[in-house]
Amino acid sequence: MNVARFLTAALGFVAAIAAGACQERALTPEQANAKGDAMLRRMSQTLAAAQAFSFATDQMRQHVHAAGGKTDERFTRRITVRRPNAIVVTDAGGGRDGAAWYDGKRLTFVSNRDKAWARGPMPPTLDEAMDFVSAEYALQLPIADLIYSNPYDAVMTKDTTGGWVNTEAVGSSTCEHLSYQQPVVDWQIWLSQDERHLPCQLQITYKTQPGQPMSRVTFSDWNLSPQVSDATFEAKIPDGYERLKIMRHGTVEAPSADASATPAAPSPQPK
Amino acid sequence: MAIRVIGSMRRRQPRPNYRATVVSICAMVLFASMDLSADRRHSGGSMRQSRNATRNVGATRNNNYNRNTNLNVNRNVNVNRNVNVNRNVNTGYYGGGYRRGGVVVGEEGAVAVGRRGAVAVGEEGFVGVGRHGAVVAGERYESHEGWKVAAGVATGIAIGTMIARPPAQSTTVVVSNTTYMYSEGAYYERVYYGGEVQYRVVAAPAGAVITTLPGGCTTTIMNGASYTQCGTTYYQRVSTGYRVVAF
Repeated sequence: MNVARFLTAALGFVAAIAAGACQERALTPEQANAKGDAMLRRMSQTLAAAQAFSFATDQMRQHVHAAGGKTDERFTRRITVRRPNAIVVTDAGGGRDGAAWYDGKRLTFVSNRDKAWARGPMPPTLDEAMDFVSAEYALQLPIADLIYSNPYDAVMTKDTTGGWVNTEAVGSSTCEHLSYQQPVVDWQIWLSQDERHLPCQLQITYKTQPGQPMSRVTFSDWNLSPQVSDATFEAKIPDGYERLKIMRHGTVEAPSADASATPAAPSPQPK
Repeated sequence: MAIRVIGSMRRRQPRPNYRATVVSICAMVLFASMDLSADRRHSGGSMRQSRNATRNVGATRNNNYNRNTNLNVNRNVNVNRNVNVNRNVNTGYYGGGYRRGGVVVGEEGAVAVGRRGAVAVGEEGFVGVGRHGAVVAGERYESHEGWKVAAGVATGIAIGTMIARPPAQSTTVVVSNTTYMYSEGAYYERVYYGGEVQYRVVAAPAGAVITTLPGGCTTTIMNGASYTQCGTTYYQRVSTGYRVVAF
């Protein structure tokens, strides 16, 4: 009896593997590319059409150490977006406890851990803002491409190769697995199987960085019609927090030749 | 990283620690090829951000580190190491998707950025990192210990250097409602960079009081008053310790 059960289970397992293999083999690279492309375009349309949306993420970011080795930083993030020019992000876990607000004019950071805040100017739209925070504030967001008005154009380039791979479980969901290669990054995305094709997970490998670190973002709690108001995107700075300067990469050249912070030393008289 | 240059040693007699010497040479070559300032350019961006970060690299910043290290070691066995490490580091963030130049000059005020990345403070309290996108003084380190490994303990940490965490032995100094960390003669200001609080070396803030002077200080007399000079910083003795004096 036990042998019969075992054989039945084994045959079922083999059949399932074979079925899966046949399904994957059924697609040529061109077909896999077309299938993935259609899914990405659908995801892009879904997010572009949403005037406001929110989601939560579990993020893992690898840090490569100069002496070798990597450490994984994990934290959770809650993001609410309102097109065309507002976003609020809250972080928790992994030593993070803070928030950031963008209201179309300014970006405000608050760190509860450091009891500090900072603020800098921003361009007027989310599309510009996503480029700007990376270029000027060195703020890297793996999910930034989903915020643009056209996420498809943000993720795809002419030299991108890849496509649909298979279906995989991400947490408790079954998602469509797509994999792409670009000169700078390799990236994989898992999309929901419903017609919205919202992201289940995103993984990016930074091929040109030393040690080729990786970021993985797992999405949850998608809401394409959250209740938001202007107050949602107003920075909330607790009393008593110290304002810090925000470091940014310059966009304008120096009006003077040099602006050294070191004052000129007097002419001391050695004792 | 500075590499010690060992000149021709033909006249020297062989030494018994030949193996150690070879190991040292190998270590130096290895260090020459290491990027000790990990995380100099943040990774972790989206696909578009990553593309933009590497775009126009030739037009942004071109630091040619020409390291020409001639290691001629002759001890019976002639070992000749000629190491030329030409590292081309582009640390720019010039993005292709957003035109640069005066875009953010508005209600928050313009950012003045000094040549070669010298620091200038904008009206609303932000700091330029360098017109070519390089971090002031060029580097950001994971920790003070990481900086020591890269720079060598004999040198002082340069103004503008940023570290992710303050030195372990640092103390808090508050001057005009601004919090600084102090350690081994260096003052660290908290700043936001990459969306996180970092610690950036600044010139000693006038009025800061420390309880213990760093090593290597000398006493000078100016206008009849006695000051202690530590590097480029002058201290005056006060009842609670030593106060930074600006002239």
